[in-house]
Amino acid sequence: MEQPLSGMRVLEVGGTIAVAAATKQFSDFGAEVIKIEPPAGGELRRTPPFADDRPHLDTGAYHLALDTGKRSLVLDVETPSGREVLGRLCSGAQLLFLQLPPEAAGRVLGVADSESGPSTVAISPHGLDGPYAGRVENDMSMFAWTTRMYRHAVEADGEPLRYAPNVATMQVGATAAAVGFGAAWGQAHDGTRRHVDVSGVEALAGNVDTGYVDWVLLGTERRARGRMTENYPIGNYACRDGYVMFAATLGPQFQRLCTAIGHPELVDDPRFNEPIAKSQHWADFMEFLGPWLDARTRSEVFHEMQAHRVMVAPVLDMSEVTEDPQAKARGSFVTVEQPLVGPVTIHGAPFQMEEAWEARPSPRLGEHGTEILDALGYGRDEQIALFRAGVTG
Amino acid sequence: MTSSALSGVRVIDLAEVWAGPFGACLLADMGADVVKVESFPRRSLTRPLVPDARVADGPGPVYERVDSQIQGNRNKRHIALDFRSEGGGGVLRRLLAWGDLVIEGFASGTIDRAGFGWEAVHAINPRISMISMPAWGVRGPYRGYVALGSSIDAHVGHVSLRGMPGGAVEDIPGGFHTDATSPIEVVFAALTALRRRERSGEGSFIDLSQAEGFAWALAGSLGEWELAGRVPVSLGNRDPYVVPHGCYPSAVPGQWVVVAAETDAQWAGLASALGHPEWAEDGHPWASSAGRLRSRREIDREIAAFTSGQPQAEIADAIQSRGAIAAPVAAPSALLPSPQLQHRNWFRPVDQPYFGTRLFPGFLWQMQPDPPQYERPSGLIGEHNDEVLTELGYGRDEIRALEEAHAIGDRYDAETEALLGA
Repeated sequence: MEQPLSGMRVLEVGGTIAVAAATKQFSDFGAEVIKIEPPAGGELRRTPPFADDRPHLDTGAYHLALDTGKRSLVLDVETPSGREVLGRLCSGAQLLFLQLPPEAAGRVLGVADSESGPSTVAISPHGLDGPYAGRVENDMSMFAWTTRMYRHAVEADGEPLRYAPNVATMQVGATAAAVGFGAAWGQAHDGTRRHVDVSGVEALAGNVDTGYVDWVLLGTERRARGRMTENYPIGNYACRDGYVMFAATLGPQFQRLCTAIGHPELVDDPRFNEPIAKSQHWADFMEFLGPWLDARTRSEVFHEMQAHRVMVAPVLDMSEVTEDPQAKARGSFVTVEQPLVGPVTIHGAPFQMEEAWEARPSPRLGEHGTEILDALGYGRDEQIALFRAGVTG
Repeated sequence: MTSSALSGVRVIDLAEVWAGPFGACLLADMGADVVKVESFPRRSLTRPLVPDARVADGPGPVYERVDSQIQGNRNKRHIALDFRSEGGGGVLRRLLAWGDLVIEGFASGTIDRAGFGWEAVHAINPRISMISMPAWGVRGPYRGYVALGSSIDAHVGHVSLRGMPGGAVEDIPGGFHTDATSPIEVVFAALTALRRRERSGEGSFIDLSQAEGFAWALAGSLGEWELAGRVPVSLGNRDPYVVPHGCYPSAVPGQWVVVAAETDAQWAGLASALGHPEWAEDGHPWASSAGRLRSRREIDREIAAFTSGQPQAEIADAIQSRGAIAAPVAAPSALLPSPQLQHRNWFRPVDQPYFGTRLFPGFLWQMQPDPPQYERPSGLIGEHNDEVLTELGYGRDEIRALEEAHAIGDRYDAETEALLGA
């Protein structure tokens, strides 16, 4: 079966993690993605970690995971020569993703702006216009604006924490991919070229579970509370070989949990059978739950509790996630043979659909320059002229 | 009118709580015609009868004033039915014949037992696609396992990366980021299925594991293990290769700022904002990024001394005006006065019968020439029963009969529940 996005051409400009995350979705589902990269390589290729800790533009984890199946063209879009090449690439493309400072973004969008041009998606931390449009942000500072960091801390009133590195940035890229696909769908059906402006702050602050809606509707600002001993069990609890994450405080969940640990009578125990009493007897309850957990591995806790439909899951680290039985059975991870590095295991499809997704090797910086320029009709003399002028590489 | 990019695309939203409904909402923002099918008389978690911490003040039924219900369901039409009943099942069958896409988020196996698994859906309408989105997906040994976002967050490895360096795992709070990532994957999956249908003529089944939909955001952390052989651990706000990179207290307790300088130029800007331009001059040990890496503690101390004397917004403005990275850790109430969000006209007045007009968060993107709009606030329970059922070909008498049989409804009350529970 043909991949669902085959026949679609998508361009990527800027070399950032967000823009690469956006176009990866298209590439792995079968679109032709051309990565237009600055001569020195972009943020994505320079972000650690690297194979064996040796920094190299072609061996970084983000590049190997997010550039799968793309073709790479080095092109300085800050020059008129570069923009001429970009103009030719744009005719025949369905989508152009870019992340550049506002003025540079404006020049690239100008090139794309022709009748046969693609719909466009510009990614930035704050949007293309407004008093903060020129601000430089990174994953942490963009995240700080979104209200999500405000309530993420390990203790009440403690230092707010970012999520894992680049999780917020990846979310911006995924959002750009989704709306970009919508714009391309629209253009294919009504002929209207659409221009999308994705502000990272808006993309995260506008999504569910940010806290702003609570504030506007309820007048409350949720903050971190530290360990929960009033209502339980919720959060991370130690067991024999690590931790498990519980979310089993509510009536039926708590009831099933008591049954699972062999103490169904606790549900009617006056220490636990109504919220105020329960809030004062966490230590008493741990006399039952603690030994039960100590005697079991994460895996045993998980499966025995899930047999009673209790919401609990093992806390895994990154050396363990690929070995998880569910991940193995589903093929949640794939191994890609990367020419410079060898076999590298990366995350698999974000959703599973029959014969739809495949991760192919990531390109070396500029690997496909000649073939792309050939296809655009640039002769050898012209290609040498562009190279000599420092526009391609 | 909201965007028309997905004009003509018909979506049936059978999902509850956050991830699925908001995915359908984003499709609606782009112009899809989304019919939300709410469970009746069984209420979803976001339709309580008794006020709890999530319920806004105001007149009218409690279940019309819940934060998540209201945030995740704009721009849809709302019907409420019991699709396990004969009449309600008939309505759902007609809807499935009408739709291009159906989204469901029950625990894996539940929808099959109700008679609307993929094979049944495909038989009703070969052109419709279906997204099933249990926590760990449809296939696999964890079929039927129950989870919240926090369970998935732990299982994909995110908990192991979110704490303070060396801190106790017990202290790391539950994380619910899949509530935000899954809706995005729903949109991409929906369009992928629609595009395949353009050529194949047939709908597709999508097995959307919310774990897999989020996990790929941890690409760098997985690479730490796969490429460098190290198990990545919680770093707090530190970056192992960038100094400074952290979160610092302002003069106001509980208000924090983040500050970073990723390049020498940003460092020069930051040093100047701190009143020490010489820290970035040739010869100073902190002028080079490697030198800064060796002086993390001293530099952190200098920045904290600067930030702890000033209010949050002033610090960020002063540092940003010199080209370095700084931002307030914004509380929800701090969004409204943001000059940037004001300039972008981001907040939207939303008028709902039971709590009046409030400024709601804006859209995840801006689009020209047809920007997203709040065409409808979140619907009331069963608000569009008549409208949608009429479009599906039901006559007035048939609709009344369905109401009398409690197969559809437009209010929840203890009496109806008791009647049906009996």
